[in-house]
Amino acid sequence: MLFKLMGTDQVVLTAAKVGVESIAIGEYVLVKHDETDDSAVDGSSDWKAKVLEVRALDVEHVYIRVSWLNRPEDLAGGRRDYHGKNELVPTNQMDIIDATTVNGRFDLKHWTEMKDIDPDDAFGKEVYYWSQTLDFTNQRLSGRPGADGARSKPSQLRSQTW
Amino acid sequence: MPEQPSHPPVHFTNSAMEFHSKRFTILVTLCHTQEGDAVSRLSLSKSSMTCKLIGKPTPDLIFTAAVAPLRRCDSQRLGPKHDALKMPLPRDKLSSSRVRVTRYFTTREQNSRIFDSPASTSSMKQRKGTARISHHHGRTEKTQPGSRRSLAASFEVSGDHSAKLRKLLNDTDQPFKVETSSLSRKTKRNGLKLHVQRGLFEERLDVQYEVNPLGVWKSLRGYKRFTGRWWPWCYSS
Repeated sequence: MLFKLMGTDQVVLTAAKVGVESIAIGEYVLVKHDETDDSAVDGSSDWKAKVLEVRALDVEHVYIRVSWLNRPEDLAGGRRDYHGKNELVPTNQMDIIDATTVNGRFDLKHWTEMKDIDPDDAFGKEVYYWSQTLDFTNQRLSGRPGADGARSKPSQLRSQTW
Repeated sequence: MPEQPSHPPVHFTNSAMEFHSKRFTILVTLCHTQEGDAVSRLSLSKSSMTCKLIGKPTPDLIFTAAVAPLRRCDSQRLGPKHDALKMPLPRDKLSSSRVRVTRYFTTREQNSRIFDSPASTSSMKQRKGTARISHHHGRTEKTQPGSRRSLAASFEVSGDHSAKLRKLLNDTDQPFKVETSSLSRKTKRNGLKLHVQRGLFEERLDVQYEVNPLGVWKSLRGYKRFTGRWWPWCYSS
């Protein structure tokens, strides 16, 4: 293993460690989306997706079919006041990606509480959650759960920039 | 102990022929065309129960073939066992073997379609150099001398497909594309029904999708969980 001395007591592992890991259907994964060698796990900048299918020719050719989970700022309307910091918007937009771009896993919760509680506080800062979804085929966003328990009317997104 | 022949001897019965290998004896029910020609050929390894039939390019003909192991025999006691090996198997064992052979060819045909050139679209075509056993004369006719295919050769064909697939995946940055459409849209392309993805968070997200190229995608083995030394973890502290 290669270590780089960053100071008197800080050590950074600079070499990628290829270990025995696994990827399974139904898991939520972080996807690296640039070519930089610095592939440290960064949940805030990595893309997020749900694994729907895993196929492989051999250990060097593993592909996964995923559906994407968008950040609120990825939506046409952008992030709104009601969007939480760790909120994601699941979609049915799918892609098949190389499994080597997977940078880790994360947990996803479904926010269904109607009470006026901040989900970021309820789940913690490291847990992502979703409360509304985006139908990619018609660009319609589902309603959010309101304070009275009823969902607001779905809204149509006029344009998307993916 | 008699010397093992280079090719398994063939014994004909009323409707079947027996192949004796070093460790296994295989009973093959012959396939007949309407003209009464037997066109099946069996090759088998000496250490495996895997069988392969090569026949004329008529899938239904091959699918009707029945292959069944008669009995496993020890190579050192091959001679004394020969008489007993001629006993036919019960019908139920023939049936189960028939299923196994059918699946083998179905898979092989699907894989071959991906890469075969238009001139050889059917993997069931009579390959040059394959031996053909004549039912009527009880001897082997070779279309080309010295080119008899073995079971190992069949794995080479599979390996060749794998190599082509690997090259295709290596040369393409994004080898697969997924197109989605609404479930309400009854779209069919090339006569193929689109796949449906359900269980995506909410029922409203159920969607039809199409993977291109589907043949290459389907030729990869599917996993519920894939484990391997491929995960590029990086740690920092």
